[in-house]
Amino acid sequence: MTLDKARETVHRACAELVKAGLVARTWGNISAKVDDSTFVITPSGRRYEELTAADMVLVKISDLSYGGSVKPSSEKGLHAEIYRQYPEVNAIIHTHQMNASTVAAARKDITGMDPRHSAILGSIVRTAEYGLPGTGKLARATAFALKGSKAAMMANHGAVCAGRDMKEAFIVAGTLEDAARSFIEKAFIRMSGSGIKVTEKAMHDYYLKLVAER
Amino acid sequence: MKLDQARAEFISWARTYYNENFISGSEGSISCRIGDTMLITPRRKSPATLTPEDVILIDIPGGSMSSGANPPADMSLHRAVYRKYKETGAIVHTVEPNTMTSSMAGKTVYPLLDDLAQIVGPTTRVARYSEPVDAGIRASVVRGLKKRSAVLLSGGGALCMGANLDEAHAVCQVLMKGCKCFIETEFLGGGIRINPVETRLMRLVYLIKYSKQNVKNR
Repeated sequence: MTLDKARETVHRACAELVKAGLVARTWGNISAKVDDSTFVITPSGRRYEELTAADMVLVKISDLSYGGSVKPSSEKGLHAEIYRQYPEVNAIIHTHQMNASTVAAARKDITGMDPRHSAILGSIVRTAEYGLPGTGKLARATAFALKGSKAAMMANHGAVCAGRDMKEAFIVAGTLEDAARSFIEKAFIRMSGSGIKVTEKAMHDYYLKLVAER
Repeated sequence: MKLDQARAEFISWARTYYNENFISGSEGSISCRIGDTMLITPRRKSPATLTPEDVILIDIPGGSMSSGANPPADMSLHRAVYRKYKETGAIVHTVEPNTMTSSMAGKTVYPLLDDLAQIVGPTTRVARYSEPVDAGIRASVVRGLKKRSAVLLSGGGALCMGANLDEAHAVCQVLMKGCKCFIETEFLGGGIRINPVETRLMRLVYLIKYSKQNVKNR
């Protein structure tokens, strides 16, 4: 992929990601591989709606060096680690999507998925060990958790979704959100007993009952 | 900023908060500070039909009202927070459902997600709350906000604050997600808390560095 094409791909993905409700503001980041040694990524801390394609930062996979005055996302190391370990991956989205983040906060793996989810994600989506944002520990743990799947959750943080191209990475992110929602709802049904229709209100009423009984 | 422009921007933000369910037509309130003046939404008036004349103007030091009618029941709470926290430029009393349920549970919300620690603080405390708002409630809320960007109001939602209405909006969004996570992880065997030292470290790094990147990183 040419540098201009990669920048344009990431720029377009920013708008799509916000529209899809998978990130808000600057929480999350997106990258596309240019060649075996470089990728472009969203800049650190900037609001997606204000960005242009030229703002996307070119980063070297080997040492995370970059040119220009605009700093790349602080999670550049996470993207680089995934590109290093999984040569078939050409696009990565790091989301703070609501349901996958909830599963990640309980540090559970998603298993027992519906076939329409597992066909895309694999039979398991793991939650990586906790690491502080932007650290090598988080990057290594997340890349490890991605083995055998297109997605991994990051403990107490969010998720990372990988694809052969940006289109696939988006499909993975959307599917992960559905799978995570289903995982939470099944757990709620198991805990609360059958017969309760899963709505936000039913969940909140049951939660308040649990709190009151303690 | 001229008052007319401030009122127009304020109404636009009130509609955003309303459309995203952070406030309803009958509950919740929004305010911002322009110099010594506080702009605040009136009681039981839907933001969808709010006009510039409806926006209430209050003198923060003296408490007198110079424009509008029917101040909300929590008006004195907004004023007390502005008087205590000089860097606060906007306050939202949100009644969003996840935040409301957490306020009804009355439990301190610990950050189960990094962004709650960064943007709201290492804990979200629960302050006393009922209407009419008295001096004891104001003191409890002001105390609850110490080194935090939000506080739960017992049984009444939460008060979120920021340097402006955009920042307060970010606080509302992150608190909503944090509360939702706090509630729903109960069905997954419970959320795993982040180490308290690390939550403090993340909050510090966010305040010193990351929160300024949108302007600095160009």
